Amino acid sequence: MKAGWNECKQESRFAATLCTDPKQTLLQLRELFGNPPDFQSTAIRIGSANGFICMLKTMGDPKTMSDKLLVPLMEGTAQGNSPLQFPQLEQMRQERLGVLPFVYAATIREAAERMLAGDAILLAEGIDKALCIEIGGIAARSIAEPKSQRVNRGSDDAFTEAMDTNISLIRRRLRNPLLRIEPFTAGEETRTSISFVYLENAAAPSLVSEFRSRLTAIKVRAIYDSGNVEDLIRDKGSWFFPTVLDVERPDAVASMLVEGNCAVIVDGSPYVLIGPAVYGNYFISAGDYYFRPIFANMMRLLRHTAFLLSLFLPAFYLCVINYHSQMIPTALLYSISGQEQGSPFPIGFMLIAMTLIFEVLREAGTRVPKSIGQAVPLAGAIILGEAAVQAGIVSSIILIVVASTELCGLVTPHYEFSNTVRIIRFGLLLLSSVLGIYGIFLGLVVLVIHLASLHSFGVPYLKPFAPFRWRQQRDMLVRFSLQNEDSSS
Amino acid sequence: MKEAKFVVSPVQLFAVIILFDLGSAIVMNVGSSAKQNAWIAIAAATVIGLGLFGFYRILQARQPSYDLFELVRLSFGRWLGSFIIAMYVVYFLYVAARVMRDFLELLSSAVLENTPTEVLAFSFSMVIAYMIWLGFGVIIRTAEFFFPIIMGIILVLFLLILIDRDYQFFYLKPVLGDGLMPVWSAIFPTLVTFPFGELIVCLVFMQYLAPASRAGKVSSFAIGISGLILAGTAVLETISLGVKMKERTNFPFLVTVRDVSFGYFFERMEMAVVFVMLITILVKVSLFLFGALKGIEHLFRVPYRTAAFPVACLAAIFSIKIADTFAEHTLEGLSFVPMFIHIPMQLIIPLALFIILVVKRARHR
Repeated sequence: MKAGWNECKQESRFAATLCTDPKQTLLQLRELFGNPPDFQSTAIRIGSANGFICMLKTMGDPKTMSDKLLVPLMEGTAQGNSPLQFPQLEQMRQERLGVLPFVYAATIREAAERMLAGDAILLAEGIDKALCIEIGGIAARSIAEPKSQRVNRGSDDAFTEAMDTNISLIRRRLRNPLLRIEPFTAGEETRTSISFVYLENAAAPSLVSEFRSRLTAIKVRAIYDSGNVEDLIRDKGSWFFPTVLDVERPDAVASMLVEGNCAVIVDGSPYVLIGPAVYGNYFISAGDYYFRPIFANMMRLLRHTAFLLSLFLPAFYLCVINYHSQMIPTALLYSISGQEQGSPFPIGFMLIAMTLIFEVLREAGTRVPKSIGQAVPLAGAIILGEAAVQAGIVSSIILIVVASTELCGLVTPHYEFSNTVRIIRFGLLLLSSVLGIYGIFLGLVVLVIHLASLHSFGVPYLKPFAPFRWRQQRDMLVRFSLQNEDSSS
Repeated sequence: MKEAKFVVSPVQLFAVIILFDLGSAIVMNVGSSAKQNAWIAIAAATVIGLGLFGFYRILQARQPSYDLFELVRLSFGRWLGSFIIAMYVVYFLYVAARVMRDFLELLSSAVLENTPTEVLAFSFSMVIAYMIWLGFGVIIRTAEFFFPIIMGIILVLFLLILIDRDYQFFYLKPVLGDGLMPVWSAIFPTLVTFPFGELIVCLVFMQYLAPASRAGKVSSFAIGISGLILAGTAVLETISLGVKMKERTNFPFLVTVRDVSFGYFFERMEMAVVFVMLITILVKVSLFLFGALKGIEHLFRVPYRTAAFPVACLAAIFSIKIADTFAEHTLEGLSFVPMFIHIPMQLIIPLALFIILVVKRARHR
């Protein structure tokens, strides 16, 4: 394998200071980039000297460049051919380019990196530095509605792929000079920019330094999405439970920042990472705070219940039917056993098979082209289920159990958590088919033990339930109504 | 590294002590030799247990940063100390096995009649080993998480029994009809040592307690409440089953709850009892095993996490092998174990420890 960019830029010819001949520098740059079609360069005159201006037209808008750079620079050019001095260039920049953000690059390496960031490079005769001027203006997706974390009431903008847009979305909600944004770069090949955001007066210094050290420690070849970063900075210890929150709503991020959490924005990903995230965070929707508390509390309770149901319902059904039929009222038992009599397969097998079919439907639903829309999964679910019952393969009560399980699993406001449930459910089904209700109890205990052992950036995962903190309990479980803060105290 | 600065908060201590005390005692037929006065015996034993735990605390307070084994080493010297630590290791292991056996008997009589005991024992001990392997903090946090749930279930069960069952208060009479002797014989040595004296295992982690000043109040409160719950259970069992029935059944609380039906929907609530039993015994066994493992750590310098899985397997085997039948198991538990195992380990050795510490301190001056 050839040397990557990281090793390449150590080479002396890229790290040496630029020579004063702009033609030479331009050739070096072109060679480094391999002379691609989007490498645009023109000869210009700057004052009395010759020069070149070059940029990658896919990273910055060429029209903006000509309007803001070329036109002012070409004004008042003088005849003759005398190399420029550095103060002259600087004076020219101040007079003609005004407030355009700029940087002076001293090496080919720096110039190349600025070009990749979308800058135009100005090379002038007689000067051993390259003036890099930020152009920007490349096409980006406009701000759209959130895809997965929707609320009934509240703002409807979501993060996009462009990091600057995302930061501006947060800044617009937190007009606070204490909002700190620290830049990081990760991925040897991709050179992805990452921003670490926190509110200085809210976030604990230990948490901030922990985040910082984990972000600095990132050492991988490539980063494409915040999912990659999440995998690298999260606390190891769980295969199932996420310990970093993925949020695509700016209002949620702003509120988490105010509460003292830290956020990580990865360029190219519309999901912002937030830590520390504990169990309770996954059941809070941003919309909870925009409704009256009583309703929000009811919804939160519902979510917790639905989560538990979607974990335990199939396993519980299985163990009741297989082992402990005395546990349910007689009338219910009659109606169930009447239905189960017809089906030729064992209940455990049928439950697992139907759950798997539902998983397939779900996967098909996300893969299906948008033009076909919702038809396929819906048709699959209804027709398949109906036909299976009519054919006498599955009892309709199993369908009810499986369908309500799936529905309950989708109630959590954070999609990753419903993925967690999908996996654990199978384990519980297995346990209950072997050990009955004892198996379910054991599964529950193991689950709680596992959760109690997890930490997210030093915070116990089950906090504020265990360790018990009454003050913080107030928001995790129950939301109280907002009160005006007492200014006298 | 994290373990070093680990701190047990007062709430956690409270939860752990209550769950520990209820462990197996709430379902087993404790104090049955006092007949209808079992609740009096339990209440009296609670008071004695309070004193006993106060004594443990005083003992520990002489060297606040020391745990039980370091105290033993300090006062008995290297060789005798090691021997006594080894005795404690075996003792904790044995009690863990006994408690686990209680649970296995309940399971195989109430839930899974046909499943081999070995499967139940090993699945249970593996869960405990996993918990201990994750660290002491996990045991405490797990207990703390389950504590409100267990309290809620017990409260609901009490209420349902009172609402739904037929009960006669005259079963409680005559109060102290045969004098104090039967009650006293139930209290000592049986009730004092089980469940209250078993709290000696708390000495293994007492040095983790956060503010030492409130620990006494919190732990006394916890012991008092657990005694209240146990006495309440005894009263409910007696008034709804009657003395004869209660004496005949192995798990009177289970039988009392079994016939409760509420609103034609909540029937056969015994699964709730099994769950309560599972959690409380989980806490109890894991604390005893943790004690044993800490002792092993002191003796052989094996970190307790490393030894967790093998020692838990050992406890599982012991729990099956200690007795052939349930009758043998309970008989041992009532007549032999309290007198010849509990009393020396819970009373005599700590007393000796205390005296030696006091003498040493006096001589030092």
